[in-house]
Amino acid sequence: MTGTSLAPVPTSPLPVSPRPRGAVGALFRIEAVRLLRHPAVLTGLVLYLALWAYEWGTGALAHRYPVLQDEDRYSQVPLLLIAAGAFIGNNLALTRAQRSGVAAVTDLLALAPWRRTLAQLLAPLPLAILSGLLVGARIAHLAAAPGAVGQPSLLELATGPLVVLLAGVAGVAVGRLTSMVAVGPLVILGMAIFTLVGAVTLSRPMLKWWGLVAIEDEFEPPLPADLMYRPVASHLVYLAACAAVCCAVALARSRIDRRIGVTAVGITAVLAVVAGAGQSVTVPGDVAARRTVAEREPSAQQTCRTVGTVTYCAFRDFEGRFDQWSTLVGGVLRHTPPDRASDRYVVRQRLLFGATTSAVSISPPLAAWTADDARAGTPGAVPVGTKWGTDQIGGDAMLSFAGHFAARVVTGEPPTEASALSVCRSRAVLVLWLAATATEETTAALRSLLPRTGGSVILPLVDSSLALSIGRQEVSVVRSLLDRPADQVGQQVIANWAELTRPETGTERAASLLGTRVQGPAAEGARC
Amino acid sequence: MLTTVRALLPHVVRSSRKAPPVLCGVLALVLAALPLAVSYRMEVPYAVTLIRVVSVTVALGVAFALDDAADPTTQVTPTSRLLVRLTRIALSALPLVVVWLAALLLCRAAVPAEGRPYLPVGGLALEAAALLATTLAFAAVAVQVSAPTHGGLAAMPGLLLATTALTLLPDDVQPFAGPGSTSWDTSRWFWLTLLLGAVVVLGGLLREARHRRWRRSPAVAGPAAEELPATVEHEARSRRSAA
Repeated sequence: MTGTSLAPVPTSPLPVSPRPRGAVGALFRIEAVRLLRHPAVLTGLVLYLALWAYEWGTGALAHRYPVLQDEDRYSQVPLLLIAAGAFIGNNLALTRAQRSGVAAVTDLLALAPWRRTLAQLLAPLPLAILSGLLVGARIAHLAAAPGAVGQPSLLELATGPLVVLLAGVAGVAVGRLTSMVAVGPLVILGMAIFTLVGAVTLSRPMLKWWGLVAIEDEFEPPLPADLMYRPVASHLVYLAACAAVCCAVALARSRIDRRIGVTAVGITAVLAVVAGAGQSVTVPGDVAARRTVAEREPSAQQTCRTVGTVTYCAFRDFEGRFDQWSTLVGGVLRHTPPDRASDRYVVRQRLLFGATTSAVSISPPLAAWTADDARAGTPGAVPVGTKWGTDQIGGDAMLSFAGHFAARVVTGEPPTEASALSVCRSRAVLVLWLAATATEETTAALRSLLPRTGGSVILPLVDSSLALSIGRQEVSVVRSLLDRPADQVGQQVIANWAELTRPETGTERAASLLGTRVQGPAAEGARC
Repeated sequence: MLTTVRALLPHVVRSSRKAPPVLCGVLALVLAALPLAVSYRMEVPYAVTLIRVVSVTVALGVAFALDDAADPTTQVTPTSRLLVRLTRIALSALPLVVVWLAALLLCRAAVPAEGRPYLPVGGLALEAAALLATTLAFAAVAVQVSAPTHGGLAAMPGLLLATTALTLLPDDVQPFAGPGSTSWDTSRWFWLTLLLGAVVVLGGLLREARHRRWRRSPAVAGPAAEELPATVEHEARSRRSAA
């Protein structure tokens, strides 16, 4: 009997592959390709590209005047489509064996479970790189637009691809925790709700930084890059820590030593909480100081260029706006008498912090602005904000600037409370008509504004309380004038300039001088 | 027909997945009850957003309604497939519709009394119905082209991705238009079209498959069919009998 030879040979608890690293690499390659080809990922990619193509095809992209230091963070939200695909793809890959009823058979595989999990955790890497390429292409496409200004932040651009990676890793963690396929989509729904809550609770700005992407208030005007403050770097650390937690959870559930697993999950979770709390939303002192200087005395930080008789001054990130401003200003001056058109004018870019967030509109620091203009040798400058575009927000800002520049030409005074109040009756008709006919875009902006305001028009100066208020009767005259060729009306404007710009001239008189009639009664209680 | 449905019910209940609708229903009710629980007085736009989130959650709940592991074994029965599948849908959808209505009442109760008339209930119900029908249509397509147990697998992610993509559309064509915004009325047409389209797709796919030969060939039968050799054999037999 050779019974001793039949005794069980001591074996290691888990079968070890001769070259586990090579096997992990091979599995990673297969899983990565499978993930890239997964229907959920492909759907996410197609939807991402379809949204981009739609924007391009409808011409919305060509007229957006992108500010690249804002576009970098706008690139993050569409990537959530690909991130959702990565989550679902990786989650389903984990539950594949379970769903196919071969989970028991996988126990016999030579490669240890934690190594298989590791390969799956690495699988979203190529997809994250692809997302990075898409973001790069997107920002390059926007930067190539003729009206693009500013500079994108690399850290903001990196956030989107890191979210894709985190989503893929989280899919593995959830798959290791439960094999129920309905849980994955519900986790995505939960993350979407969290992102939504972060975006709408503006009163608690910290909440959104605990989510995947931090969305800013879209009514806030764009800022020069050096005045912006978003804790992007610490958010990247936080996202990486979250990914580490997911990796630790996934590996801990892959039958590794219990103590190692629990320790890894504990350490990474603490790291993530610390990194999350480390994202401070308080604006640092030096940025706040720079913002105060930029608001009250921006001239030192700005560059100026003179086109014709008009000098334009802008923050360095917004120098690209000179062309658009001069086109608009040229459009206003086209319908003015030669002596007015040849006067010297100055347009200066202004910032007003807190104008959109506070409940009451704030008054502009006119005294500080006048002093700053006097120091820079550009007295009587017309302020222009940083918002610009053909959407509702940008269009309103464009029309407001055109209105205030037209008021500067018509009244001959820089914008003050008194000069804004003197734009009444005939002057109001003239100012609004000059502003609306300045460019095709301002005409479109007025047409889109009217249904929202019920007939009257208020043009605030850089979102402040100082505004040109134009009544319903004057607006109706302008509307009838817009139906006629601008050059024909323009000749009548130039011929009757003196009478039209006199403060006493009434709306009816202005209408008859311009060959139209007043419709409807004057608004009661109007301040004019 | 009622007798048939009564006879069908125990079997349909047994072969339906209960966890996803229950999870989604509970989640929807919890979400809708949150503002009341923290006594937050919601403004109408926030209430509309919350009801939309609830609608998506409820729609996710019906994703698995058409998943039927026993499908290959019940291909030749005296009962029409349409009736069986409608029973399956009704079983998950009807309780979820009740959940949606309850969630609507919860959200409405959190809105101050003067704002309640401005809650566009009809338009939101249309959105919810369209989302529900779209999820079922996704599931029906997946069941048709993949395996009988793959409906929910495709419909849940499909609905989530489609909804996310819709929210990213520009304002002028935004289907989730704000209440009282200029694009509200046009966006209702989108939802109506989506609802009708989904119902047409469902109507076409839920009926008895006329050409069963191209369906579920062993190559696309999926692992579920491979697992059950008896099923394959049964299917081959039924195919022979059909021929």
